[in-house]
Amino acid sequence: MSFTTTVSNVAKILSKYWQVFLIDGLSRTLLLTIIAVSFGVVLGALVALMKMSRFRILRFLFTVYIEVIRGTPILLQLYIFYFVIPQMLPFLKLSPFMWVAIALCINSSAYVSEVIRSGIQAVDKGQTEAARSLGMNANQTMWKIVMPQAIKNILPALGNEFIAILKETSLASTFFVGDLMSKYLEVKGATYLGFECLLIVGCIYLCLTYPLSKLVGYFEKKMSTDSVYAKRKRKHKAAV
Amino acid sequence: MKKTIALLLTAVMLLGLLAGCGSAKSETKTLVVATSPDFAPMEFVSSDENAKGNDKYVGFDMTLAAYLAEGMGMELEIKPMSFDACQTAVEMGSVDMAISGFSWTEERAENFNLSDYYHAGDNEDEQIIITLAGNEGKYDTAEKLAGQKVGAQIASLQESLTKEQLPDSTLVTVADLTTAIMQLRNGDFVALAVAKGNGSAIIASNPDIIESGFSFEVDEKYTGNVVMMKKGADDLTAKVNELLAKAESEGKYGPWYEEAKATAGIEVSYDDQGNAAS
Amino acid sequence: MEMIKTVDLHKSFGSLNVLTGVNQSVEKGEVVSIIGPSGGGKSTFLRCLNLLEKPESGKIYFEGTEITGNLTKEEKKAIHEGKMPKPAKVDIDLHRQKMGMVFQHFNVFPHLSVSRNITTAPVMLKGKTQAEADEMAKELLNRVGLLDKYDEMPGNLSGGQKQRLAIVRALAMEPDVMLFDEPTSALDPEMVGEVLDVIKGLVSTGMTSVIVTHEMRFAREVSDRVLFMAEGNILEQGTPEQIFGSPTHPRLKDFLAKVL
Repeated sequence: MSFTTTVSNVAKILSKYWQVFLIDGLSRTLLLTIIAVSFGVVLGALVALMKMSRFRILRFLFTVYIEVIRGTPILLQLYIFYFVIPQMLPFLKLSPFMWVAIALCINSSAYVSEVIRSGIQAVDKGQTEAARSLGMNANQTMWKIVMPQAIKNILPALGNEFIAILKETSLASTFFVGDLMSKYLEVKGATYLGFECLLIVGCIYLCLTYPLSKLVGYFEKKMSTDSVYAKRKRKHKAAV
Repeated sequence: MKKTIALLLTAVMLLGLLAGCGSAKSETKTLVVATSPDFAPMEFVSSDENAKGNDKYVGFDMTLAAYLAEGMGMELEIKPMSFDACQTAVEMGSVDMAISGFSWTEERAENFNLSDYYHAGDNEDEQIIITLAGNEGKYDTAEKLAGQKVGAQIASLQESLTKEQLPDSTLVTVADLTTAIMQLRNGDFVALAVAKGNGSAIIASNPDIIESGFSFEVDEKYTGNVVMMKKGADDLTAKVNELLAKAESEGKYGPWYEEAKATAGIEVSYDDQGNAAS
Repeated sequence: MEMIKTVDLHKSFGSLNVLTGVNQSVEKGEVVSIIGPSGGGKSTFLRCLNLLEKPESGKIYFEGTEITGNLTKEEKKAIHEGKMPKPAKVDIDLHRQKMGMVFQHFNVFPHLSVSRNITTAPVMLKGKTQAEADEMAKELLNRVGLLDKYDEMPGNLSGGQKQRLAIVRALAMEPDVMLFDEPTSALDPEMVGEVLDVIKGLVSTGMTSVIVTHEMRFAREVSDRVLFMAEGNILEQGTPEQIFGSPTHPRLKDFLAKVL
């Protein structure tokens, strides 16, 4: 297989299937990622709170939750949500896409909860001590003092999680939910030009992840110092 | 820590149990069929953008699935999933059967109810060895292949054949044929076992690859495909066998296969795929 | 009147006994400095007073109320036998409002402006309106020479300015006692003076203060009483003249010989 035949094959595939990849596949992949990350963030925040709870039993349960999910292949989780859970809950009539989305949400929640927890724990302990010494209770300290500072640790890491999930959605192609990787399998199955198809989807993934990771890097840098607050204030002042 | 590990293990085992005892599909008017729609012309996704539901999935096996459902007086529901997942789905009872160009193997026969053979044209009649151009006549007998590395797709018919008929060669398993061709060029192995149709397709688009001249002897049991059902689903199996016999006697297979090939309209001149993974 | 009293205070971190039964009291209006070698338990003792560290046993009375919830063996027995009612749960947050604390590393809130650093707690906890609190913040900032930083973010302040801000942040809660935990240890030398001046000004108003410090001259100057802590307890105490002029305990003599 020479370079020129590869290129001409890619062109051939694209001319026939470009919208399969760029419209159907891409939109599905993005939809799946957005669902997984946004619900994952909500769930993950809850899980993080539970893991930092005062109650040992809750802490234990959610430690197990996180460890099981982070410690098992996502493919196993997809199988369980696709095959096992629907049988346990026969009254729940959800589409395969929904089950896959749920599995990805659950998976993402475990990772996001660790992002949130470590973001919170990275805030200097002195901040909590200062707030408590003023008489604030634990909740007031968390929401008024710790969380606003933790956010700057959490947001860039969430960006990275988004990128990771974006790539992980490719595993959902096991159930042909119509994402980019499913489209790769479908077109490969119809054309027998596997390498070329893979090149095409690879490029699409790269076009998504590269700008995203640049963006995350930019925010990471911007938020890495305390001067983020100083800068913000200066702007505010200028506006007044 | 010990406690955590214990609980983790329990959780994993519970999941395993749940997976193991998934309840069988209850009486339903829908025939749910798993397939891995990435193997034209047996099963693949229609290039018709507007196709919805079952119509999205076309090919010989899909025509067969529709025929079976009609014969049983049931609605057909196609569930697409990867080839591996198809077997899991049948095992767990998430689907009634899998039709995805499965070949008969001993392991499958042990763990599943397999139907009688059905024949998709000349699909698997001939199994050959291909090699790089320049190796003409070098690998045309089992003796010449002895001591050489021979590639075959993992869990495939070709893998079994290589083990059986080329016992003195070293088997190298590969994940898929696309990769295998690159590995062949790379020198990971000197010869690759493929279905004849597949081989012709590869040679058609890759002038640096030729037939070695070696053909496997193929037993009848390997040339057909089977429908895979849950172990113990004997009534269903009987019904499927009955319908397969009927289709054969009506001479349906040939026209179905021709139609599937036409639908696939594979530009790069591939007339079949060979179901290498089966 | 006793503002703070500790009875047989014990605290350990793992196998390390940091406090070994400290008995001490601080009178209202009194300025007490705690000096001693590192690791002697000074900071831990101070942090126990507002329960940032929870003592394992012993009691702390703040303005007459026991705040640790620790019970002696006799009390546990008495409660078990029904001879004594179970003590009510202590709301430590309420007591902390009356104990201002200043930390070695300032711990100003970097995400809040200078004024919000001061006003957040009074508005949240003491029912002050934002306008009232803002007014008070201006007054306090003026007192420590930071009024021009009112709208600034803490990230733009020097170490000395941050510590002065931390002090007025604590004062905004109108505490009855101020606890200083090595307030100048993390400062560049040229900034130590400005912070000590603020503390001097504060104690001269009669604010009850407990100050853990390595600044011996400062301790001598402002204290009514000096405690020498080492090995988890108070080995010697007295007026600054006694402690610095005629120390008796060999450990104190040794310590002073090294630092003076």
